[in-house]
Amino acid sequence: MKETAQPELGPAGHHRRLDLELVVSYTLISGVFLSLGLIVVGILIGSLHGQGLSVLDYTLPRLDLYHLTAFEAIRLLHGQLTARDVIDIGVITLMATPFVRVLLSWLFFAFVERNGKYTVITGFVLAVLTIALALRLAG
Amino acid sequence: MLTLFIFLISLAGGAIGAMSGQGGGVVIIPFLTLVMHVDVKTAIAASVVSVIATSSGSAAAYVRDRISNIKIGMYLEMFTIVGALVGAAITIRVGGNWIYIMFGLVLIGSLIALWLKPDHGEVFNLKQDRLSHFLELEGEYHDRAADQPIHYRATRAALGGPAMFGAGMVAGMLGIGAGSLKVLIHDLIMEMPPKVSTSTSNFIIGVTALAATSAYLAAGWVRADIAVPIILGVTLGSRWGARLMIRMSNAAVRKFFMVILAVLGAQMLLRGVGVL
Repeated sequence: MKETAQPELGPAGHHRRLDLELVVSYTLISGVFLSLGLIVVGILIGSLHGQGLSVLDYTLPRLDLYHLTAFEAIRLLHGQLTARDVIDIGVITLMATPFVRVLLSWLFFAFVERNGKYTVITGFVLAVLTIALALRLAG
Repeated sequence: MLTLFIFLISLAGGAIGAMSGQGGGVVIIPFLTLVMHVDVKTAIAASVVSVIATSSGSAAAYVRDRISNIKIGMYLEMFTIVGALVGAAITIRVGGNWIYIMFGLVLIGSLIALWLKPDHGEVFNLKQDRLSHFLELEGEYHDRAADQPIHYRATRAALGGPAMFGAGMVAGMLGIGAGSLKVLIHDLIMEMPPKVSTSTSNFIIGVTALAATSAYLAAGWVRADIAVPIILGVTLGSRWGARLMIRMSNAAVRKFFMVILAVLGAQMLLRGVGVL
């Protein structure tokens, strides 16, 4: 009779298996909810300060995603966040969501599944995205 | 007032997009540019940010249910993200009229694709070429309608991948998901089952859109008063549209959307050549 490997059991005796589909799914849905929530909170903060929807009358800073993230992080550390900063952080979170999804997939293929082919393929996607997020294609 | 109006249009666009499986951008961008006279490049930059939200939201469910194939998606993303960057670079550099013409052609092309859409019925491909086999482009999902597991294999990876570069370029250039183009490639070239094709396309769209979004953000084109209502409106509208779709017949949804594509496609083309 063929023996099948027993799934690893966690502390409470529940089956524990790192499942890429679940990790990716939760990453995506969490990222979307968090980003939308931050955007709505930013609008509410603006409304509380009497700005109403005019809080949205601006163009996001002409920065690549890394510099924009650093910019908002500095403002956060200095306690200088405004309603627009919260909205910007919401947009950053939204953009980070698929990036984190790719990163987690790469880690999974490299260290859990140990799939060389998909470590390379996912690594390529991750590398291109990492570069793309720093690119300035306009003059 | 503008913000509120864009939100309402995006609600409708999201609902129509969900009902037709095409995404909201194909409706919202023409409306913003033709009716509200928003600059076409600004509209594209705003729309492409929203594509990340809608794609990620719906992909989460498909991935959890194991209908999207992550490996197929990752392989094809190698091509779509490069295509999206090229598309965004083109939009940044060319004049607005060319964008209108391109958009109009894509809408008319989507109309033709919808009209000619082949019906694969319940036949699932199990043949595979060497490269596709090497790339492990196969999977299995539980089909709830048939209440049975469906095993499938995607094929022609060597052709499907580069074709997705073109789809990514269209997506990046026009600020849409280009889901219909991606699904066509999945269906006709790679012979994926319809549900896997649509759900994997959804999975790919978010990362593709990210590549383009980053270019437009760094170009200083993302206006919050346009992007934010689109993000919120399309996300909410698509959930509403998905529920409505269940009550409508496939034929009714298809006819309705074909009319919209025809009207908007013609208008965008006419704007591009300077008639409108």
